[in-house]
Amino acid sequence: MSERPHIAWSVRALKSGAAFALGLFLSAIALHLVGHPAAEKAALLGVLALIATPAISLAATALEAWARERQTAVLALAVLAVLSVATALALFMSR
Amino acid sequence: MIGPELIAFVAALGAGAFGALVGVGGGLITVPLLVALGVEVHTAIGVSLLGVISISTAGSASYLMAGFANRRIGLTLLVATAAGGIVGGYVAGLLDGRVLSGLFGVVLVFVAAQMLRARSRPPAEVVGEPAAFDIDASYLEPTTGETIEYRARNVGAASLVSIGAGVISGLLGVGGGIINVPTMNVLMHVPIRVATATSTYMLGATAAASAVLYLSRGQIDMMLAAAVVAGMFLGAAVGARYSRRVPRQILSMLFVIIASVFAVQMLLRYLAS
Repeated sequence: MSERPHIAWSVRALKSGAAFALGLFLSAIALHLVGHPAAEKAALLGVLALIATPAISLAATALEAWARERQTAVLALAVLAVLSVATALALFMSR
Repeated sequence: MIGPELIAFVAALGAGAFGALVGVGGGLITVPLLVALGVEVHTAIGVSLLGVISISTAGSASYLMAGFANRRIGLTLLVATAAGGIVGGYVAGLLDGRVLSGLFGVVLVFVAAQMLRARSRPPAEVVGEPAAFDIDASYLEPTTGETIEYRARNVGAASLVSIGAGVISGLLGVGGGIINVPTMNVLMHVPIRVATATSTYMLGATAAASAVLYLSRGQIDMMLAAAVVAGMFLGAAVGARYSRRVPRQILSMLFVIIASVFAVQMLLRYLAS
């Protein structure tokens, strides 16, 4: 009925993002256990990596779907635009 | 990691495993658990949203590869859900913690009731040409080896409902699957397996839209987040591994009991102050 969509980049982005964030969180826990002051920074990086992962995956979706699934690519860009609004609002609120 | 973080890690491990076994997002269990451990409600919600992102990220990768998650349906609804997530995340900052506790209690009662009368709707037959916004797709059902064709209908109405799912997710730190799955299954005629997988795919971006707002308000405790996300992530991996071996009905009843206890706890917190 429908051609199998191109998902390789999107999946890779999701897997890498999750693994990277989990690695940072586990490092933060280990550093916290030994009382190292960098623990909090590692955890913050983990939080940022985790929050960025869906956006990176959406960007990957837009890129890999652009040629054959234009509608999917445009939808991914639309969601990215909504996430940009959230980030802009967050930056405005933190000032 | 002595004290609250260690307890939070163990609690999140259990919440993640149980959530994966029952098929609900970990947030429904994590938020009241953290509140019971003495974590402030806004912080519990902010940290839970990160847990939701981690579970969605890990789960949707395998659902996409298996062909269960429909990316086009997910992205269509995600525009509305993510916008709702911003609204929910913003409004949560204006509300008092006890109001959020009360709302959480009400949602838990709703989810428990829904779990008791859970029925899935079979996909509608794909006949004739699709309407303007209908989406035709198919997937391979692993239990029968059969290719199931389906047509997602009522996309506009479902998008409107999805805004509500996003608002609840951002407001209470839950996934939003409690609304997304029935919306796709009942309103859009999408098979339950696809609805669940597509909802998991949508949760990450929805939660990210509101998590940045909690982060900007300083309502995310970094070490607590590390403990909870790592716990939920590992717990969900274990839960997903054993999800087909444990009787679903017993788990559902267990969830209803736990949800009821947490609902009473959250509602009492609202009434007590």
